[in-house]
Amino acid sequence: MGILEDWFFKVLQFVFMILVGSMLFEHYRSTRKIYDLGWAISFGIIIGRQLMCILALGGIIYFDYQKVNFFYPVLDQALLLLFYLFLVYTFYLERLKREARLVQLGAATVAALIFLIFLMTSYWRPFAINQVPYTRFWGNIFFSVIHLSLVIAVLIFLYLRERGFFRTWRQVPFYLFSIGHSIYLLDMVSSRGRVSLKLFAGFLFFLGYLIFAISVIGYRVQFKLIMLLIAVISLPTLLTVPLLSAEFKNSLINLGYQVFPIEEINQVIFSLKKVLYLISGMGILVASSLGYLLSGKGTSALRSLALGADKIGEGDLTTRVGIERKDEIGGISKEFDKMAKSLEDKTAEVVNKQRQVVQLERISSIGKLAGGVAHEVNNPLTGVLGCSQLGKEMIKDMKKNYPDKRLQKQLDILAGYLDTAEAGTLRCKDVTSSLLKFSRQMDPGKSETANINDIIERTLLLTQIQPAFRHIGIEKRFDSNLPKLMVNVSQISQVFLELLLNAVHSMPEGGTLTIITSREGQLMVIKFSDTGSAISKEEHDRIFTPFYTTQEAGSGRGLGLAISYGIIAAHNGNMDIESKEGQGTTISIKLPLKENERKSA
Amino acid sequence: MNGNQLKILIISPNEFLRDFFTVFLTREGYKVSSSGEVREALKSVEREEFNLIFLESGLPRLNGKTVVGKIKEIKDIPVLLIVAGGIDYRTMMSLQEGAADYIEVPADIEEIRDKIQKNLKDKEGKYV
Repeated sequence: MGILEDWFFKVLQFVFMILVGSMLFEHYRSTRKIYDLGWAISFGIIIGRQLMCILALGGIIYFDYQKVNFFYPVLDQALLLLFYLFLVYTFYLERLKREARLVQLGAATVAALIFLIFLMTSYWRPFAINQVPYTRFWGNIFFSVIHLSLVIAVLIFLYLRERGFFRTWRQVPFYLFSIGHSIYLLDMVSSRGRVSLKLFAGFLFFLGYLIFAISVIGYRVQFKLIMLLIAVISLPTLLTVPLLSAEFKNSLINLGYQVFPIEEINQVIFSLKKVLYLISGMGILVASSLGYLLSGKGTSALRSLALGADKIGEGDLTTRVGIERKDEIGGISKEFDKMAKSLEDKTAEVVNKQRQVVQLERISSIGKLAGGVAHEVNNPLTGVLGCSQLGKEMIKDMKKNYPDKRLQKQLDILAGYLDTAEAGTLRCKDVTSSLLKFSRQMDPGKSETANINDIIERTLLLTQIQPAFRHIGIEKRFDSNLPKLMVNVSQISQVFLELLLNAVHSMPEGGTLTIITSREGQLMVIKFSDTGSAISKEEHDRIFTPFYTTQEAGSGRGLGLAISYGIIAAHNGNMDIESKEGQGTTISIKLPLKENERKSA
Repeated sequence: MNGNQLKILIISPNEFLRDFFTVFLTREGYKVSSSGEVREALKSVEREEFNLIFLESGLPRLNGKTVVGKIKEIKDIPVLLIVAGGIDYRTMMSLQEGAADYIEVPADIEEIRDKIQKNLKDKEGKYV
């Protein structure tokens, strides 16, 4: 194989590598992952190597062939090894932590650059040429051995790292590279220069680079582009193969012999070859860069879609593709943006809900704290209030028994002190009881299965002790076959208590309270009907709003019905109020059987 | 009531409550015992005769029963609940298991007197 063909072949590879390398770099720009930069840099090295070779061969062709003949393979092989090492190194980078990757990649790149500069400077030093102790043959043997042993070392490293021969696709290019190189080196050592072998090795390289790029970038968006690349690369390569083959040359020469003298023919062929190589090289460059640009246009929309999907996957929900096109891609991107927007909105909603839950939890823990404090304060307060009152009683007795005027005066003052203490304590009692009330409203409690009739019975027990109930007749009409419900017993009994007290307070002159439990389809209905004063229409609308009360201020009620309404709503139930003058008031609670039952299952 | 003093037991882990009720009830002329520990208190219920028991509401259940239920298992003595933490479900359970009434403290001494009068049983089991 002649040096010109070799050069041409290198140019071909170079173009291909530029394409693959730029794809890898583009890939890095979209992912911003540091080991993707590692892949790109390693390809940068091989591109640099290829450029060196092209320049060197160019130098050999146009200047002194023999002078650079030895150093060309040195440079060639050394850069190739650097490429190998960098690839393997990038494999290793993937397994490191982010910060370590950055530092290591930086260090390795600097080392590689220094190595490159070193190689270049040593290569261009003219005096080094005279010091070469080898013939071309032994030089080739020498590099082949070093090169092959390093390739084998890399393969062993990969085998150990991946714990097998075919664990990842990224191993495959290395096999292709090593086979290709072995063929190449064999050919070099035998010094035969067979074009077909070199081409075969070259195709193995192409394939290796290709699989490598695919395995790094992935199949998704770049597939079309890669197919285009194969077409762009293989077409001119195949076209030039017959040009390079000896038979073709011979037939051309034989044909020419009959027309022109041999020297002329040789001259013509040589210049023809030059022109042909130039044209096809330019053609490849133009075609591939054009193809790359065009395919980039075709896929850039898809790529930004894929990128958008990636970004959303990583949690950036503000991502929008924003492609304004009238074709299917435009439609997809519009749908994509719509989807992203709804995802963003829904997420915001969820976050909001979560915030509410947290808020509720906070309030609930404040409630618990308030309840605990109130309880703790009430204990000593009992003694303060009781003893103040006891003291006052004692003073009364003493005033009766000791008529001494000065003592009487002193006792009056003392009684005044105790009055102050008592009033203060009563104020404290107000505070603690409102704290307890607040605490109970905020207590989410536990849900358990319970019989609603039982809860009402218990609540009744509590209220019947109160003197206000003395003149109230209570009529219970309970459906004894009601299923058990999953409810927050503590909260539900608060609701019943509230309704009972409301009913009793609306009947100060006495009356009847009727409590009915029943089942209506999938609902459990609980009704509290009193025969007391009716609620006016105005009150009717406001009765479920917080702090509204029909009772006078200071009786401690008002929050009750609104809270009760909230509790029932939290059980997916409903609360209704019906009131007519002369017929009293009926409050009915409806709780869904199914949902609350299912919860218990 | 001298000579034939009525006996009241106070059960509360809280010192303030025990102290006050002891002072108050003693002054009212009752013979008062107090206990801060439920199991110990139940033992003395078994051993001694009481006419009334003051029990702090909201104590944890014993084997699924409220303390009231436990007392009622031993003897039928009227139990008054002292409620310091507001009426809750446990108070309701205690009432269901036989507590006679409850007093929300801090309470007026008149109210306490009233509730004692209503619920106190003499040695023959009749309300005084």
